[in-house]
Amino acid sequence: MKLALTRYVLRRARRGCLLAMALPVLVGVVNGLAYPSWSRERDVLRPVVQRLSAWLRSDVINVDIFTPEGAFLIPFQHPLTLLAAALAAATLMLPLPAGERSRGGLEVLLSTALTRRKLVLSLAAALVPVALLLGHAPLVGAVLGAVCVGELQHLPLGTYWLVVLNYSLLVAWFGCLALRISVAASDGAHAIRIFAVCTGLAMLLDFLSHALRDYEWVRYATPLGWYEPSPILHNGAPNILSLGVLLLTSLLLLADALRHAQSRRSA
Amino acid sequence: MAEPALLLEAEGLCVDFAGRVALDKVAIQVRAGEIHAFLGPNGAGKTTTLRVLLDLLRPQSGSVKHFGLTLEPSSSAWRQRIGFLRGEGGAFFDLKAVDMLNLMSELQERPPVRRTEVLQALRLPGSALSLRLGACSTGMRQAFAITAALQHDPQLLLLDEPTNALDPLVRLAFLELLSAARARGSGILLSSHVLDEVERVADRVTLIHQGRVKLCAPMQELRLRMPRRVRSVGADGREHVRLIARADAAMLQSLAAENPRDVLIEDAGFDALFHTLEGQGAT
Repeated sequence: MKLALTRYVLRRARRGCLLAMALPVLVGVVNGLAYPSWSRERDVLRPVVQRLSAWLRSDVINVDIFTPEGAFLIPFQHPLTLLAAALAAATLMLPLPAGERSRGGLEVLLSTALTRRKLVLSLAAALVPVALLLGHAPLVGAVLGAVCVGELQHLPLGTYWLVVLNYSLLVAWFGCLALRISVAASDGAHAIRIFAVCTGLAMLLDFLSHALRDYEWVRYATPLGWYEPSPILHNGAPNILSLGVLLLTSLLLLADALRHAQSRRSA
Repeated sequence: MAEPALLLEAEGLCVDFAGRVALDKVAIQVRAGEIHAFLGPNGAGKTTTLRVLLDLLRPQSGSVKHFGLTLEPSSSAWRQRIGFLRGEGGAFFDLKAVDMLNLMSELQERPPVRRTEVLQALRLPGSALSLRLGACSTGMRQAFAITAALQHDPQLLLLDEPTNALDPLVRLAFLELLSAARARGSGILLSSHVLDEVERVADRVTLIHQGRVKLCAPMQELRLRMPRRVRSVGADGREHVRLIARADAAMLQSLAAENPRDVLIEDAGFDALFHTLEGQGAT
């Protein structure tokens, strides 16, 4: 592993990653500012939310969004937060190696003492800080939102931190998927197309699993199904199986990226 | 006297892209203290060969040895001792020049002991180091790419059309840097299609055309074998063009007999040389 390359990748992707981190924070602040209003109108809103629940996953329904601990979990579950995971992964992993494959930078890198294995491991290393920092972004958003409306003392921060762990693993999963695609793609545009299709498909399956209750198991075909903020809040403990599935599949994607990088005919 | 050590040895390199033959049993050697020019027209297979030599492209068959050892893709030991300059300009335009050089140096795992010397030789002022590569001219970017390739004092240099975009003075300085590296015992493989720069510095030449090595010989021999193109304007004002093997006395006498108004004799270029070699069945 070459830390110089890891630093370069992080520096190069800093704007995209900061934007990705800003999304959950923004969602958290807006959510916090809106919470007192919908909390006051709970009697009116509750039937509406119940009607909408036909479109929500069963584990989401288990959370009462009219209580502070349920309301401030929204930044962890918001679609923009899920999109932020994919955005950070794409920003970090698609420009190199895929983007530089067509621009020539990859050949310059691989003509130094950097082997293909070290290249992939250096890129994977860049995922660790991004997954941890982005993982905390919804928590920061929730805390800021709660501070704005004086509800901080009602937040179960310890339980929220377990959701942070789950979300960090989701970010890492998307990162490993992006890395695997980037290693195989012929250029940056090709990699972006494949990654966008994979991410879109995962989100579509996740949505369909909400809408079609009989097919709720479909969500487990995507990483989003293994990201479960509501059950963690409900149970006060993480689902070890979910964390294990995300971790194991991330490692499998990374191993496959390594294998593919080393067996490619051209750099 | 014993021959200098072989730094690079490639044999029988065959590459095809979807059925199109790019390299056909290409062999090449570079010894310590030698500038080996690798000549050929665009699309001849020079860049493909360099990519194979660096494991950037894996051939269908053939072998490559660096410093006497068979190329080991997972090892970085042989890579540390090599400097490579890619033909199509630099990369990492988002970085400042100094950051790009530092990154390359760290990845190369060797200190940049010759950076200052190369920057000075290529007339790059210190203030240029803080420029973003994307804001530099093409010539400056090429000069920084040359610096990245030379800064760690590599024992083996693989250069793919390095003088593209360099102005004449910097080109001259670069050729002097190559001569100095040769004097220190480095081996240099200089891919080019510019004959005059090769003539200045090369000790040995390999000619490649349509993926096949046509000739591998000392530079002097290539000079003798290069056909000439004779353009003469006759008394009637019409131009005649012919290709000759060499402008010897007999040829000049026959030309004089035509009583031309004007005559121009020039190197006929690679295509003519390759056609001549094909005709002679040279390999």
